[in-house]
Amino acid sequence: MNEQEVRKRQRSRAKVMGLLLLALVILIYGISIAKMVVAS
Amino acid sequence: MASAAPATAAAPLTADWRDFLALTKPRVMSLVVFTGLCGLLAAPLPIHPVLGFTAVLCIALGAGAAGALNQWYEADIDALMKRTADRPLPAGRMDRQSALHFGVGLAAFSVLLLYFATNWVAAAILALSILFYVLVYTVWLKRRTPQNIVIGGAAGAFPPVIGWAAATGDVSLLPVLLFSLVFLWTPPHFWALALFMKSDYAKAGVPMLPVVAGERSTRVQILLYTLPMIAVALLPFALDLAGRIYGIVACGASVVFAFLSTRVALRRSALNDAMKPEKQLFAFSILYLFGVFAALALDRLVLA
Repeated sequence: MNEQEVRKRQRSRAKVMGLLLLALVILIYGISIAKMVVAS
Repeated sequence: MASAAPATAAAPLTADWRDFLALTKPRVMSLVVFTGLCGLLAAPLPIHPVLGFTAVLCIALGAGAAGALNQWYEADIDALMKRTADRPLPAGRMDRQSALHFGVGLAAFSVLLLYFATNWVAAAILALSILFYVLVYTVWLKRRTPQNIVIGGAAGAFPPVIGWAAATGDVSLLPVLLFSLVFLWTPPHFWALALFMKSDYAKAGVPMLPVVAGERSTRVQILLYTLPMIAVALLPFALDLAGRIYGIVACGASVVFAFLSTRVALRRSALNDAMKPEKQLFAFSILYLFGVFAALALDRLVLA
């Protein structure tokens, strides 16, 4: 595997990881709100 | 531990994100997610949609983690079977350590998130199901006994119980029946597959029933497991735990299942047999589980 291909895959993985982290933040926020609604 | 896979000899690899996705066995996951969702919808207590979504997501992530750890351990036998040779590890697109870290991390994350979003009962059952699939089925049973998928089938039977527990915080008779249904459904489903993939399993040294006990015995066993499976499928209706929609679908689908498995049980394969009845039983068994669980969820939604 050449360096260009390795870099391309690393960039692609970094983008997906970024999106997943963003989704996780939104999910945790949503869960917190939902638990507050259920508790009230 | 499994012997070295082809990928271990290579230099560190940079796997594509699609390879990590493939490690989670997305197609197997769909049935697990669906039965988990139906378990959640069938529960008598409503659950907040965000928490319900999170519970199903955690079931999917837990199943994905178990699949990844299964592929990490079985890379050597996966390389020997046509059906699995193109998976990321045997194909050499990923190193084993990445697969192990990914599987363990995803498993821990799914259990913790489920605990945070719902309750400890659901999280504990999810942890148990992952450990059962990886340690009991993959590591202990699969290479040692032709009963591997009978006992190992319990791992795939947990999702409706997890869904139910996420909504209610406990486990009652209906989720136990749903567990039993998937548990008894697994042998006919996998042995139908094993009948037409027999040479693949034999080549990989996996002691599936047709390889060890022969076709005749496997065909009889398929029918022997189908009968109690049908009885369990009808119990929720008989015990008034499910309504008419479920009763009609379970009865109709069970008649077809009984017909297909009897046909498989009574036949003998010829040389170069296309194994059409076995393939039909395998395909219908998937439809059966989808149909019965969908009917249960629909029943609850209509009644509500």
